[in-house]
Amino acid sequence: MSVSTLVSVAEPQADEPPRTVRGRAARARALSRQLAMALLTILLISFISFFALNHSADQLGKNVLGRQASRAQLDAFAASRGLDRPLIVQYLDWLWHFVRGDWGTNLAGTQPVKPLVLPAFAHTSELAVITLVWSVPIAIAVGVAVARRGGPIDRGLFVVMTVLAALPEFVVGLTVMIALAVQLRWFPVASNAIGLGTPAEQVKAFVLPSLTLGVGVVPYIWRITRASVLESLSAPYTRAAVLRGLRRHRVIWRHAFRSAAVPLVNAIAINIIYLMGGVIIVENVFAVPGLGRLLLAAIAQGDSHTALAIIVLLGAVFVILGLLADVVVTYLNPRLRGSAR
Amino acid sequence: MSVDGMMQAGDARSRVVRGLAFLRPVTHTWMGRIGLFLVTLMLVVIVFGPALAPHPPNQLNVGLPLTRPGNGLVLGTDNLGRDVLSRLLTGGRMVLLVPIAAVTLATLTGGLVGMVAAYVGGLFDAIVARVFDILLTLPPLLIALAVIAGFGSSVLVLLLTVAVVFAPQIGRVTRGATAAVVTADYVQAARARGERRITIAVREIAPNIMAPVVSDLALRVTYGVIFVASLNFLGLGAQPPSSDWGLSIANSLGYVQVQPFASLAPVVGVAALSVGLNLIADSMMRYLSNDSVKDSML
Amino acid sequence: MSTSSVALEISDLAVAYTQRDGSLSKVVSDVDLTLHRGKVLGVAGESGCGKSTMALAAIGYRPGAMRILGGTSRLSDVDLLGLPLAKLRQVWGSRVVYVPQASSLTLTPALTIGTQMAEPMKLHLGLRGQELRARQVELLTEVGVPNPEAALQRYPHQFSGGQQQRINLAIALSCNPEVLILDEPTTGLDVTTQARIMSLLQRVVAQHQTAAMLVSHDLPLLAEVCDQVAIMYGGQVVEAGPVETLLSRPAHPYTKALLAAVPDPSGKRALSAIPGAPPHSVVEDACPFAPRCLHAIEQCVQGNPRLEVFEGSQSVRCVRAGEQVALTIDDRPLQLPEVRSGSSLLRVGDLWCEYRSRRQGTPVVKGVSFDVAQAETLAIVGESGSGKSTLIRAIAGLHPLSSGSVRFEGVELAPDAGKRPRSIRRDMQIVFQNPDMSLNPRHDVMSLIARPMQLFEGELSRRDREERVRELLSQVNLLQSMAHRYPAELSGGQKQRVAIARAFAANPKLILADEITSALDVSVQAAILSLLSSLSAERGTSVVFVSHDLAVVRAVAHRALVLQEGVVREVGPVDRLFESPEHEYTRELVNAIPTFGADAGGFQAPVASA
Repeated sequence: MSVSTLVSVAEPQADEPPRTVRGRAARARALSRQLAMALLTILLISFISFFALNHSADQLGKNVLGRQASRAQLDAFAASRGLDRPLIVQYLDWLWHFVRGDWGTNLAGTQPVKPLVLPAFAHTSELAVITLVWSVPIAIAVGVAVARRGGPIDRGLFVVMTVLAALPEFVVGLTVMIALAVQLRWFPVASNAIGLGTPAEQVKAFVLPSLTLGVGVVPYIWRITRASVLESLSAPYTRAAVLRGLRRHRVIWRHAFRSAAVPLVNAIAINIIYLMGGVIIVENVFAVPGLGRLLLAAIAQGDSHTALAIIVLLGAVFVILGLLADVVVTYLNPRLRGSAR
Repeated sequence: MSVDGMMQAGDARSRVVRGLAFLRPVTHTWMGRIGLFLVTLMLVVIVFGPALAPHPPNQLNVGLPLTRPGNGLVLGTDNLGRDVLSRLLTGGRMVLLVPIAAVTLATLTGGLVGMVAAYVGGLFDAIVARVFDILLTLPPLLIALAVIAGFGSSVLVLLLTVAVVFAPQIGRVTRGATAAVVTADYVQAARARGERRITIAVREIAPNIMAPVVSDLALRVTYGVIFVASLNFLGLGAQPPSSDWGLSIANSLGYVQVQPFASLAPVVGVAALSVGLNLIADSMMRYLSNDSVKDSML
Repeated sequence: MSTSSVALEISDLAVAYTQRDGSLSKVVSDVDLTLHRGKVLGVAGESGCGKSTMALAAIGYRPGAMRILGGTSRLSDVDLLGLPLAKLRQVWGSRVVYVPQASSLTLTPALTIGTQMAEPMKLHLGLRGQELRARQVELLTEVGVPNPEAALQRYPHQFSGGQQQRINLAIALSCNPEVLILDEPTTGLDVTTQARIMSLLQRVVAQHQTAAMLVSHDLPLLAEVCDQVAIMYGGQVVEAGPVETLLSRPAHPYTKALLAAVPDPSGKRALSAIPGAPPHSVVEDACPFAPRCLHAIEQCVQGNPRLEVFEGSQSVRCVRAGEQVALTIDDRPLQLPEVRSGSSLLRVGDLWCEYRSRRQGTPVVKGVSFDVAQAETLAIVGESGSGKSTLIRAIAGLHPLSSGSVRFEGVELAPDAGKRPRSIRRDMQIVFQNPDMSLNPRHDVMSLIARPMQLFEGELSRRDREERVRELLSQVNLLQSMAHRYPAELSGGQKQRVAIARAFAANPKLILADEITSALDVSVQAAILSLLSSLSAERGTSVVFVSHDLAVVRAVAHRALVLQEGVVREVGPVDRLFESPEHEYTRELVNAIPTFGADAGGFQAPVASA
C-alpha cells in the first residue's frame, strides 16, 4: 500500500473556489426594488378599489338626500362633491389629498373619515397583535416539540389541527360564543366594550375574538413548522450533530430549527396575511368596533371615502408585513446575509 | 411511490374494489375515509334535502319565532318563525356549488396560464410570475369586498370573485409543478428528439403534474367553501330570504342566547362540509408526499 | 497484532429495520470486525449491502426504525450497544466520531463553522474562550483550510465540497477520538480532491494513532488507504483480511466479481459486470450470493456458509473457497473496434457557451474544437464545473451557443434542436446521467422505447414497432416481460438500459452519453459500459462519452479530450494520455486515480488465483 501515487496535501486552495456571495450593494438594490414593488401594490389596491367602489353620482345622491331628491338637488350634490368630474380625475384628486393626510369626509359630509377610521384601526391592530403574540409562539413550540413523525401525540394533533384548519372563523366564533359566553357566561357575547369599558371589561372583551382568530392561526403555523422541522431533522447535518454527542434540545432548537427558520418565517408571513383577513369576520361575529365592521358598514352605505381609506390602510399593513418578512428572512438566511460582518 | 404497483397488488381483489381504485388516495387513511363520509353525507343533504324538507324554507310562522326544538319541529324555529330543519336541508347548495364552479374556472384560466408560462419560459414567464406575485399580496377578503361592493352581490359576481382570488393561487401551483418537470431530462430528451411543443405538453408534462395539481385543487375547494360561507355570512353573497347556511348564521347571531339551534344547525352544516373536504385533501396530499422520511435518533 | 492495539471490537452484530407493517427485516447479521489503533479498516460492497447501517449500528446509533438484534461493540471497556442514549452522547463526538458522506448538507447551513466546531469541544472538553479559539484555528490549519481565523466566521455554503469535508474532519478530530467512522466521505467529490482528503486521513490516523473505519464502494480507493478490508454482501461479511492479500488473491467469488467490475486504468482488461442485484435483507438459509455466482453448486443453496479462516488472517464465507475453482470471469483483453480514419462525422469548431443567471452570463465553455470520426468513441473528461455537461447539451441542441459551430456530416446545425431537420435529430441521440430523471415515470418501457420509432419511422406499423422494441430489449439484456413495466418498477441499471435502448431505437449515427454511469454502482457500471461499447461497435455508431472518471474512459474510448474550466487542455489517444500526459492537469488527473499495487502499474485481473 502506498501514499506515493496520491497528490500532496499541500494545496488545498486548489479545491473549487467558494461560490461568491451577494454584496451589500446588491442587497440594497434588492431592498429598494421590493420597496418600489410594495408601493406599487398599495397604489394598485387603491386604484382597483376606487373604481370598484364607484357608484353613480345619482345613486350616491339618493343615498344621502333620500329617494325623492329632485334632479337639481342631485346635480347640486354631485357638483358639491366633485362627482361630475371624470373618474380618473376624481381618483387622482382623492389620491393627492389622501397622501397629504386629508382622507376626506364620509358620504353625508357630516364626519371626517380620519377620526372615524383611526380608533377602529387601533382596535383591530390590538386584536391582531394580541392574537399573534400568543398563537404564533404556541404553534411553533408545539410544532417543534412534537415534531416526531407517527407518534400517538403527533397523530392526535394531526387530526385536531386538520379539523380546526377547516373551520371558518364564524363557525369557531359562534361555537366559543355559545360555550363560553352563553352557557358559562365567562365572557361577554358582544365585545363592544373595547375602547369604551373599564380596563377589566376591555380585557374580557378581547378574549373571545382573539381566541377565535388564534384557532385559525395555530393549525397553519403548526403545520408549516412541523413540516420544515421534520425536513431538517431528516437532513444529514442533524445526524452528524447527534453523533457529536449534542443534547436533544440543542440539536432540535439550534441545528434543526435554525435551519428550518428561513422557509418558516416566509410561510408564516404569507399565511398571517391571509389569516388576518379573518379579522373582518371575527369583528362582525363579536361586534368589535374595529376596521372590519366599519368597512362592512361603509360598503353597505356606498360610503366610498371611508371604505377606500380602510382598504388602503389594511392593504398597506399587509404589504408592509410581507416586506418585513422578507427582511427577516434575509437576516436569517446566511446565504443572503453576505460574508463581511 | 408506485401507483402502478398498488394497482397490480389489487389484481386478486374483486372487480368492485378495483373500480373504486381511484379513491385509494382518499381512503388510504381513516381520516380520509371520515372525510369522504362527511362529504358524501353533505352531498346527500344538498341534493335530496329540498325534497325532504317538511316545510318550505321561507314559510313564516311555522311555529312561534325562536321556538326551541320540540312539538314536531326537530330543530325549532328562527327569529321569523321559519323551520330551522327545512332551512338546513335547503341552504347548502351555494356553499358547495359556487366554490366548485369557481375553482374550475380558476383552473381553466390561472392554471393554464401558469402551465404555459413555465413551459414557454423567458419574458412571458417572468411577467406572469410577477403578476401572480402582485395578485397574491392582495388579501383575498379585501379583493372580494371591493369587487362585491362595486358590482353588487349576485351568485355570478360571487363566483367570479372567488375565481379571481383563486386563479393566481392555482396558477402559482401549476407553474411550480410544471417548472419542476420542464427541466427534467425526459423533457430535454423529448426536445432533443424534436417533439412538437404540444406533444411535449400532453405526453411528457401533463401526466406528471396531474397529481400535485389535483390534490391542490381539493384543498382549494375546501378554502372556497370557507370563503363563500364567510362572504354569505357577511351578507355579501346570498341575500335574504335565502336559506343559505352562512346567511342564516348571520341572521340568527343576535338570538344565540334564546334559540341557539337556529345558528348551530347551519354551523354544523358548514363545518361538516369544510372539515370533510379538508380531510380528503389532506389524505390525497399525504398519499402523494411519500411520507417515509429517515428519522434521526433523538 | 497485540490485543492492546484494539480500539473497537464488533462481534456478532445483527441489525434489522422495522417495516411499515411492523415486521422486522434483518439487514445486517453475524458481523465481527476489529478496529486497531493507527490502522484503517475498509468496508466495501455494492449499495444496499448494509455497509452504512452496520457502521452506524456499531457505534450505537439506532434511529426509530432500526433495531439492534444482538451482538456487542466494545470500546475498550464498554459495550456501546448496551449503553443508554445519555451515556452514548458522552462517547459520541469525543471518543467515537463520525464523518458523513460528502454533501452540501453535512454541516448545519444556519450556523457558522466556528459555532459548529465549538460545540463538541465545549461539551466534551469544557474548552472556553481563548483556549477554544486557539484550538479551532489549530485544527483548521491541520486539515488545510486556508485562512482559519476568517473561516470560523463563515457559513458552510461559503466553502466548496472538499473544504466542507475538511471541516467535518476537523470537527471529528477536535476531541482526540479513539475511533473514526467515515461513511463514503469522498463520494461525489472530484478525484483530485478525493486524493487530498484521503492522504490527510492517512496522516491523521498515523499521527494520532486513531482507529478508522472507512466505508466505501470504491475498491481502488480502499486499496490505497486501508490496512484491512472487509467485503460485505447481503448484510454479512463475506471476506475479510489484510488489504494486500485480499485484493491480490481474493477467495470469495463476490470479491473477485467486484474487482473485475472495476475499470482497469492500465487499459489491459475489459470490464466485467455482476449480473443481478444484491438481496434486500439477510439470507439465512443459503449463500446470499449464490443466485449471481458463476460457481454456485447445490451445496451453496443448502445453507449459509460460515466465515472461516482461509489463509493467514484472511477469512472467507464460501463453501468453495478452498477449491481451485476454474473461474470464467471475463478477463478478455480490452478490444475496441477499429476506427475508419479520415471520415469525420461530428465537427465542433470554436464553441463558446455561457451559463446565464439573471442578467449576466458566465462563460463555461470557452472555445472548444474537436472532431469525432465514424465509429469512434471520444471521451470528454473533466471535473465538476469543467463545462463538460454544458458542452454536450449544446451539441445536442439543448443549450444555446454564444458562438462557434457544430457540424454533422459537414452540415452546420441549428443551435436549437427543434429547428434541426428530422434526419439529424434521428442520427444524433443523447443518453442522460440519471435514468430516474430521463425516463418519464408515466410511460411504460414499451412506449418509452417505441417513441423515437414512432417519430422518425412513421411508416412502421404498431406490430413492427413492438417487434423492434422486443429485439432491442433482448439486445440490452432486459427480459421481454419488462416491456410493460413502469420506470419506478425498475432498478437503476435496468432504467439506464432502457434509456440506451431508446437511444439506439432510432438507429443513430452518433450517441451523446452524459455521465451515464455516475449514478450507478460499480458492478452495474461495468454492464452498462460494455453494453454501450458492444452496441456501438456492432452498429458502427460513434459515441461522445462524457465522464469525470478517467479510469472508466480507458475502458470505452479511443481518444479523450481533457476539459478544465471550459478549455481543452489536451486531446489524444487514451493510451497516450495515460502513459505520457503532456499537460500538467492531465498528469494530475492520472496521478489521482487510485491503483492496485503501486509497483505493477495496474493490478492483475484476479483470475483463478485461489
